[in-house]
Amino acid sequence: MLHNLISLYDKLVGIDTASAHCDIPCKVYDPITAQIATLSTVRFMDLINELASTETLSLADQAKLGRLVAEKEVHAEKVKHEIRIIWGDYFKQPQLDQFPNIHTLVHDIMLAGSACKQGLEREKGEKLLALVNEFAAAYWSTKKVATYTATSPYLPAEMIVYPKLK
Amino acid sequence: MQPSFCCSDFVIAYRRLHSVFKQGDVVVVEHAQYGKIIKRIITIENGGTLLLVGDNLAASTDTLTLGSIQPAQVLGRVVGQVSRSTRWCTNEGRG
Repeated sequence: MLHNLISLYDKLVGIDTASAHCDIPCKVYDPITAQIATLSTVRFMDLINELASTETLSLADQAKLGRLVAEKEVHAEKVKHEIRIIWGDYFKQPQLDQFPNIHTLVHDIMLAGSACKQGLEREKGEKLLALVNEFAAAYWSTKKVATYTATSPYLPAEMIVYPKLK
Repeated sequence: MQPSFCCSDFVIAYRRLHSVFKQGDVVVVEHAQYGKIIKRIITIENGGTLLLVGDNLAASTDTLTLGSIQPAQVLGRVVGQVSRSTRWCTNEGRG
């Protein structure tokens, strides 16, 4: 009852918020998970589009199509999830000062990820990959780790930003 | 700060100009990096600076990361708490 009354007052007038600032201290963050999920998304787009060249889809093809679409959905969502975790849990004021546009970049990734779920156009996957690579480069820069760009040694053979760990 | 405090709890924090804090006090602090945070004083160093810790040790940002806190950064000692007893706090995600 009292809590409800104070909540109402908070909504109407506003009470300062203090965070307990909890953070499971594993501190293990790596954008490669998001990058690989993006490559997978592009690959699923390619495989789906290959089926488009088939005159008629057999039952097996239809089953394959269903699976590819489902996996594309899962991996595009995984990209969004992984990026949100690094952005939300790792990026704090010093990193935000270093990359003040990171909020815009992450929002662009969210939109591009959704576009990949909605469509089959490869360009949408390529756009998502470019954004996620930009995010990865920013992340490694905050860790003072140099990066280089190389073609992934597997299909869809797209460019990936890797940390130069020596 | 579980189990002492949970998200959505309301607290009353109070201080006077020359308030003296002691080990074990729960305080609201204006932290340079983390903003307003609520923590417990674990140690008061010789110079009067404070070291803080969260009650939920497994999940709290550690004392070393929080750094030394000047008494002037303390907005107040927590003297009251209103909880929604049925609500439980969850930490989503990896962090």
